[in-house]
Formats: sequence, structure tokens, C-alpha cells
Amino acid sequence: MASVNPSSPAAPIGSPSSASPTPAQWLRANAARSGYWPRVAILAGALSTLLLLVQAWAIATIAQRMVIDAADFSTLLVPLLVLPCAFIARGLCARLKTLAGTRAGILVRQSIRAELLQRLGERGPLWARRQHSATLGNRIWDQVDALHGYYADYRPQMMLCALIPLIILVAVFPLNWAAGMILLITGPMIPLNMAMIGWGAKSLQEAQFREMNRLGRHFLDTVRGLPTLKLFGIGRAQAASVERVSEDFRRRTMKVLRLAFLSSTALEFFASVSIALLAIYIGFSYLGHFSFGTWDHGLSLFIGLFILVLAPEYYQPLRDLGTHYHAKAEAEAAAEDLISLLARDAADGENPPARGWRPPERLGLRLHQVVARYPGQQRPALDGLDLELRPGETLAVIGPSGAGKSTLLNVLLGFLPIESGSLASDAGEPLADLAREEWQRGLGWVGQRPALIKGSLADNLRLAANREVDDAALWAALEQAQLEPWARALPWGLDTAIGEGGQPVSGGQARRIALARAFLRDAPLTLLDEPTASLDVESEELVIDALDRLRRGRTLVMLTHRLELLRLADRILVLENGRASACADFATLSAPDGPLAYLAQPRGLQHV
Amino acid sequence: MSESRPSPTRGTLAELAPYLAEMRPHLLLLATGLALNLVAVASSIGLIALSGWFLSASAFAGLSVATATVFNYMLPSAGVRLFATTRTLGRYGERVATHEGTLRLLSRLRRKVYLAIEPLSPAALQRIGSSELSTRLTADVDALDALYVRVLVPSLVAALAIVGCAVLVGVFAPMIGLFVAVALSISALLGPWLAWRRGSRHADRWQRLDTNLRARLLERLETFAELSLYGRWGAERDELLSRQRERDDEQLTLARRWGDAQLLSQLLLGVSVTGALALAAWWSIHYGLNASLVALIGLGVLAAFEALMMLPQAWQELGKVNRAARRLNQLSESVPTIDFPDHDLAEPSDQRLSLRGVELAYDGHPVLRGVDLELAVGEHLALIGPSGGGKTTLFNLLTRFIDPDAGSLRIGGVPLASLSEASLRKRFAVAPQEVQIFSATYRDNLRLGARDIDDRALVEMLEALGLGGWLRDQPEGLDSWPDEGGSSLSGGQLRRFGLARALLSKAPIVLLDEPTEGLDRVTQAQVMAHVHACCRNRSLIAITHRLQDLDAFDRCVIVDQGRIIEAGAPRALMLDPDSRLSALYRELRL
Repeated sequence: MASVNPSSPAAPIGSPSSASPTPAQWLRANAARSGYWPRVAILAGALSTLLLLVQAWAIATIAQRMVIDAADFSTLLVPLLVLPCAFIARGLCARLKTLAGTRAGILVRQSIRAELLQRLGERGPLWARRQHSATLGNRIWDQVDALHGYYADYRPQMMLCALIPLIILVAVFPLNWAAGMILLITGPMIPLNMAMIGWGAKSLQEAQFREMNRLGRHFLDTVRGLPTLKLFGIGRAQAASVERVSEDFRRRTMKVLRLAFLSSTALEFFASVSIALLAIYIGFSYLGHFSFGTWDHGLSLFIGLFILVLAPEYYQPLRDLGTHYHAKAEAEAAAEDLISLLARDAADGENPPARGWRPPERLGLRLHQVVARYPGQQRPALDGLDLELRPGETLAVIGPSGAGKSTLLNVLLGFLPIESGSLASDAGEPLADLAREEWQRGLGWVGQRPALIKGSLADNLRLAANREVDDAALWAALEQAQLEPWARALPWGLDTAIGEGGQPVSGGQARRIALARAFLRDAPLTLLDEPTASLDVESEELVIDALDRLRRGRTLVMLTHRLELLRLADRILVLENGRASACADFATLSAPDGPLAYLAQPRGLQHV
Repeated sequence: MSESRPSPTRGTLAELAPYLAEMRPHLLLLATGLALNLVAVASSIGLIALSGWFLSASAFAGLSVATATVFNYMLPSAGVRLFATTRTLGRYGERVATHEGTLRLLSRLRRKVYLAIEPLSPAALQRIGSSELSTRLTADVDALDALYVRVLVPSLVAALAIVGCAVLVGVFAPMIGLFVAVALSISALLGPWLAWRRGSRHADRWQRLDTNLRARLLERLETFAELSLYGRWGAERDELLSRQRERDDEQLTLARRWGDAQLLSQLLLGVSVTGALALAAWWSIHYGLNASLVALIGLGVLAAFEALMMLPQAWQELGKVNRAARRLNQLSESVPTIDFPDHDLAEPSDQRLSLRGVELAYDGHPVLRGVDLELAVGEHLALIGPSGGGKTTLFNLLTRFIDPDAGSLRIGGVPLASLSEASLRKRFAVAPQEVQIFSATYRDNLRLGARDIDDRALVEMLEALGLGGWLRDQPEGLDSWPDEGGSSLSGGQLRRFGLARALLSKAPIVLLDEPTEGLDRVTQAQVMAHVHACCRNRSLIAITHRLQDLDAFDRCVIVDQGRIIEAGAPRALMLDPDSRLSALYRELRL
């Protein structure tokens, strides 16, 4: 159960801390993001209770005048006019409370989501890839939204649980201390009751949450696995299992629920008993059976009814809290996932500040004894790599999977910092001293599955441009990448929407869009990952053609397995176990005693 | 999509009818829950109304000693205690009964929905987008269970509470009772209805913005590496955040509408209570209504409002439930079903496969353009060719996950379509590319097809496929459970697990989709050797990109752009310098 104390210090979010906070602590600390809106919500709730006193006064006055005073109807006019006004004012308070709560929830979510996206940018793509994009998306989107109810409803209600009973007690005690005592004793234990509600609702919610999740997962599992189930001929038979598992869950859940419902029943019981006790105490006092508790100013019908009207409201905030409890459970579950995303850890790479470095016309690289390791891996992926990349040369990188080819690209892309060794430009500028954004301005990139965003062809091309480019430049780049005829045939030319929901783009076309981007970016160093993998023969030739143009005046590093591309390269780097096992031109490597000697044989069956 | 259209109310009942019908078997339980809920609400109203009357009457009686001594306080005080007890017990009983009923209902609903989608063709289902679809499906089923507990019960309880309260008042003053009934009905319906009406456009817009934004975020996360490389992440982030604000503004508007509804409800409640009190006072002055009933009437109306408070939520839930039901109904209607006869219409002479002129197009894009293929009994055939060439589609045709647009597929001379589903499934063992692991023990996962395989056979199979070490690492061996999504198996292990599952089945024809993808060379050779050993005397078709696999096959077929462009014995093709296979082979593969 979260403490009622609102003044718990809001720790700066994401500050380095030795121990990560518990979900409850984290939720409390982040309440600071909601500004003053929670206070407005609480104020509206408290004001509503004060207006309740007015309502109680009006109702009690009417009864007093009618029953005891036998007064004229005209004496009722004031309470009859005040009463609806009080209702309307309470309605306004409810409206304000709803709005303020919603605003509080929205503010917190917006602030947390902004920070998540910021952190994501800082941590980089390698880190993001480890989280799986769907999981990450779920966290940034759904989990953050799951926090809403906690800040919008639960937290303000927590405060009101303490405040409202207090207001009612303050109103009742001066009128009749015995009634006040009844409320105080049955109510009481408000903290106790809150703990009980908390315990009950918590175990209830947790059990339900857990079981429903499991049940949902099983169903999800079954639906997703439907093809497999059908293949094994048990598709229909599985329906019985769906029901059986569901029934098992029901039995287990009900066992917990029967117990957990007892706590809310206890609250119901206290509320009912206190009303009954009050009614009996007050009624018997009127009949002269009791004569205590009145501070000697007597007990009028007015006072009795006034107290009776207030009594149910005394417990109402707690009952409301119970209904918001699921919001808390949901938020805590979400917080558990979010804490680790927002926390800073030692694995975060340091990004030096920008210093105005500009990529030179031509760029080479020197790698000396470079060691690079993915976080959490035992074995370094690059293990003492030496390489001198000359400005303007085309280097092909080959090697078995796991030899460190992709790692080399990730290091050159600035996504993975090196652990030891040195990596510097040919001008002697260490890469580690450059801001990542500055370094990346000097890079072009052609991946295996180029990113296509929902938007026009022009949007997709401009993505890569380092500066403002006009349509003529776009057409030029398309021409270089052998895409011009295709683009000319598009219904709206450069403005044609491509990708999901737009013009379909084949794998080969996507690859050439990436090439067009590389031309447009006009960076001194371009990195390519298997530029011709899984393309048909025609597209492949077009891509190779374009590559031949791209390499002029630029430094190219490409991972490839294709013979034609190896022939295109000035040198071939053979990676093995994270090290260079050879680096020379094609002729040398495919010489009779070279590592690629078998490639030189014209054709035939080299046996595996 | 249809979701964005304003929901027509007239269709609601028709959409919900099949789900309402599912309640019938649990009617007694559900009725009990409803009755107990009513008891609780009635006790609540009774407790406060009776207390109000008791106070008034005893205060009046207490004015003189004579009336005070003859006042029968036994009955009202017993009533107050009774109501306090029944309110408590009713509430507890109601909670237990409704939850029991809801959960039972949920079991039936899941079964019903599952049976509705089971006959759909998996290939078509997959194309709708398997993971997003199944997630939504579960969410929709969960939403449906709110139909009873959050929509029906509160509505019925509110209606009966209004009637009950009106009758209670009407017993003493019929006219006031009528006023109470009308006033409470208006306050129960008008506010929530207006909020729903005025909010539904915003709710739809919010939903649309939210769906788009979520999709955009996922898309941008997938392209995060490039966006960040091109220095576009900052702009992208700002764009996402500003669109998020747009969405949140809709939520704020919804909250405002909701607040308006609360205000209106309070206003109408105020009018109801004040009106009832004023009428009661007027009646007591002019028509001799007992004055001590004034408090009873006022407090009774006030207490009845507790039952009405649940209504607005019921309206909101109804919208959600309705959308969920519509989606489920649409799904089971829109996706093509593959029909199987109940019994085999003819008996295949053997397990020979024969494909003639098979054509198939997805969305107008031809995938297969006239495939002819024969597979002799016991023959081992390798399918190779670039991805997207139609190889996996051939498997989907053989397992009838999809039917061809033209051409015939026969087994032992009999069209596949004349076999019952059970009979067809018995003939094929399939290891697809994407292996699905279920939340069950590894043993149960392996024995999907045949329950009677003993542990020794399972362990032998895993050993032979190089999964022996993995099995020994499992804390409880075959009794261990996979993590969610099977992430405790690596990609290569998962594939071999699927392979083991298929090979353990005794089906005469084995279909393997890229069985050695992601394996190192040594394991690859070991796995393929075992596959061939297991498939001795069985027919085998394997899709592969690994040319090293080919040697042990009787025949290999190259499929490209929906056609078979080459077929023959691997060794012969390899030695022919002009063959496509040797051209493929010349591609460097390190």
C-alpha cells in the first residue's frame, strides 16, 4: 500500500542511482510531472464534500420544519432553493475533478513518453534492436498509457480518502459527540480499512490480473499456433482444451476472489453498521432512552437527519478507491517495465559534445588492434582488428557468419563504441572524440532491408539528405541509382506515396532507393550490407551497375558474398574470429595458394 | 476501416445476439447474481430511507412522553439491522455470483470464438497480420465479457431500482411516486446518453489517432537505425510527440463531455430530490401525508441514485463491447474458409503426389504460374530457388491452407479436396519456417501429433538433431516449460525442435521448409543425414537455400517466379555447366 504522505521527495528521474526504485516508489516520484492538477482534483473533491454539508442542512431543515415545527410551506423556500444549487455546484466540482485528473494523467504520460523517446535516441539502434521493436513499441505506447488511471484517478482519490472523512467528522463532532464517536470507531480505523481494502483489492487485482493474463496468453498462443495445430490434425480438438484451461483458471481465480471479496465486504459491513447504529442511537435518544452525547444542547431532528445524510458519504471515498485499484495495479505493472528503460546504467555510451567537425572530401580510416564487444557477451565480436582503409578505395568484407562483419559495420556506423585499440580517421582524428551525429554526417548507408517510411518517394529520398535538396537533385540521384524510368512511370512522380498502403516497392527497388539515398547524401564514406542479397538477376545487375558509379570518389566498405562484387572491390578483407586473416586484392587472394583459390577454378563441383 | 464509422445503434442487438445466447446455460447463476445485486441495492435504499423515517417518526413521537412510550421502535430498529445485514451479505453474494458467472461465460465465449475462427484458412489468417490480429482477438474476447457484468447487470439494477424507489414512494403518495419514476428515469438516461452521443465522434477520432500513431511509432522504431544515422530521430520524436498531443486533446474533450454529463446528472438529481421533497411537503400540508414520510422520500431518492451511478459506464462499455462483437463477426465472415468433406470421397491408391497446371495469385499478383510436379512414393525432393519464388506456397497448397485458382493437386490419383481434413492431415508431416511453441511442457509440444510416443523416442530424436545438450540444460528435462514465445530456444534450436516434431509424426509424406537455415555446417550435415534416415521409405520434400544439402536428394527442382525452371538429379545438374543449379552454385557462399 502506498503511503498517504504526498511530500515524498520527487527524485530526479533517471538520475544515477545505485538501486532501482520499486514500482510504487517510481510512480510516486513521477507524480511531480503532473504539476498542480492533482491538487486541483483534490480541492474539487474536498469542496464537493463541503457542499454535501449544505445539502444535508437543506434536507434536515425541511424535515425539521415539516415534522416538528409544522411550519408553513413558505418557510421551506430557502432550503428548497439552496438544495438544487448545491447539487449543481457538486456537479461542477465533479466536472472539475474529472478534468483536472485527466490533465494530470495526460501531463505525466506526455512527459514520460518524451523522455523515453529522448533516451532511445541517446542509447542508439543497437540497444533498441536488443529490445525487439514490438516490445519497445508496446512499452513506449501502451505501457505509458497504462499509467493514466493511477495519476488521473487513484492518487487524488487516495488523498480524498483521508480528507473527506475528516471534514465530516469535524462537522459532526460539535453537533453530537456520540454520533461522532460512532463514525470514528466504525470508520476508524480508516487507515486500517484502507490497509484492508489495499490488501484485499491488491490480492484480488493481482490474482485476477495474473490469471486473466495467463488465460489470455493461452488463448493467444492457441490462435497464433492455429496453423501448427491444424497441421497436426488437432485444430478442432483444441477447442475443448481452450474451454478446459479457461475453466481451470476460473476455479483457481474464484478461490482467491472469494477470500479477497471479504475485505470490501468488511467495508460494506462497517458502513451499514454505522448507519444502523446512528439511526438506532438517534431514534432512541428522541424516544428518551438515551441521553448522552449531545453536549447539552439537545438533539433535534435537524441534527439527527443532518448526521444521517452525511453517514454514507463518510465511507464513499474508500469505496471509490476500491474501484480505482485496478488502475494502480495496471500502473505498477507498467512501471516495472518502464523503470529499466528510463534508468541510466553504466552500459550507456558517452557521446562527446559536437565540436563543429565537418567530414572531409575524402575520408580514410585507421583501425589498430580494435576490440569491440556487445553488452553482456563473453567473447568480443572484434578481437584485435588491424585495418587501414584508404581514402577512395572500395573494400569488400567477407568471412563466415559470426566472424565480426556486422560488428565492423556497427563500429564504423558509430553505433557500437570500441572497447580498446584505436580507431581514427586518416587525418588522425579519433572517432571516440567526435559527437556521434557529426561523425554520421560523413556516412552513407545501404542496408539489406532499407527503411521505407510511409510517405512520398521524395520524403523517402530526402530522409538521407544532409542539406536542402531540390527535385532536380532527387531526379539525378534516381537516375544514378537506375530508378529514373520507374519513378517517371509512377502516377504522381516524386509525390507518389510508397510503402505500406501506397505504391508497392519490390526488394530490388527498395535497394535502389537506398542507393539513390547514398548518392543524395554524398558522404565520403558509404557502408553497404550485402547490397545484392536475395535479388533476382535483373535487379542485381542494375544494383552492381549503380554501385560502380557510387564508388567513384567515395570510400566504400561493403559486406558481400557475391563474386561480381568482389571483383569490383579494390581490396578484400577476410575476417575470421574478429580478426583480419587476409587483406589483399582479388587476384592475390584467388591465386593458387590464396584463401580464395577455389574461386579461380572456372566451374565444376568443389566438394563441400 | 469500418471501425471509424459512427456506430449505428440499430445493429447493436443483432451484433450482440450470438454472444447473449451464450448466457443461456448459466442463466440460473447469472440471475442469482442479478437478484443478489438487487437485494444489495434495495437494502441500501431501504436502510437509509427507513432510518430517515425512523428518525422523523421517533422525533415526532418524542415530543410528548405519552407518544414516546407507545412508539413501536422494535419493528423499525429490527428493519434497520436487517437491511444493514442484507446489504452486506447481498453485496458479497452478488460479487461471488457475478464473477463466477462471468468467468464461466468467458470460458464459453473463448470456445465459441475459437471454433468460429478454426475453419478459416491459416494462410488467409496469416495475411491479415497474425500477431496484431491475435492480440486484438484476445482483447475483443475480453471486452465481450463486460457485456454481462458491466452492461446488463447495471442497466437492469438501475431500472429495477427506479421502479422499486417509485413504488416505495408511490405506496404513500402515488403522484409523488410517479414524479420520482419520471425524474429518476430522465436523470439516469439523459446525461449518459448525451455524453455518449456527443462523445462518440471524439472517441472514434481518438481511436483512429491512437491506432495511426501506434503504427507510426512501430514503423519508425523498425527504421530507427537509419533514422538515427541520418540525424532524423530528433525531428521524428518531435513529430510523434506533437501528434500525441493531438490525440490527448481528444481525450481531454472526452473528459469534458464526461464532466458535462456528471454536471447534468447532478442537476437532474438535484431537481428530482428537491422536487420530491417539495411535493412531499406540499402533500403533507394539503393532503394529509404523514410528515414523517418527507425524509423517507427525500433520502430514498438520494439513495436510489447510487444504482444509477453505474449507468454511464455501462453506456461506454456497450460501445466497446459492440465494437468488439462487430470485429469478431466481421472476421468470421470475411476470411475465406477452406471446406473439407466430412468423409473421404475416394480412397487414394498410394501416397504418390501429382500437381498439374497449378496457378495461384495473391491480390492479383501471380505467385504460381502453372506448376507441374510429380513425387513418387519414397522419393526425396529438394525445392530450391530465390525467396518469393513460390516454394512455401506449394506447401500451403499441399496442406490445403490455401486452394489453387486453377490446376489440380492429387494424392494417389485422388484430388486433395476430396479427402476429409483428418485424413489429409494424417498424410503430411510438416515443419514450417516459423515454429510455434505452445505454453505446455516440451514433451507435450513434441507430441502434438501423436500422444503415444515414449520419452526414449523423443530424447533419441532430439539427440540426433543435436539438441541433446540443450535438453540436458533444461531444469526439468522434457517436463520443462518454454518461456513465453519460446525464447528459451535460439532460432536454430527452435527450427530443429519443429523438425523433431514433424519427424516424430508417422505421416508418409514429410514437408520441410528450410530445415537447416541458421545452422553451422557441421550441425547442418548431421541434421540432414538424420532427416534422410528418418524419411527412409517416406516421401520427402524439403525447401532449402543450402546447396550443400542437395547431394542426398533424389531430385532437385528449381522454382523461380512461380514456375519450375529446372528439375533433375542434383549431381547431373551440377556437372552441367549451363544448368541453373551450377550457376546458382557458382555464387560464392562462404
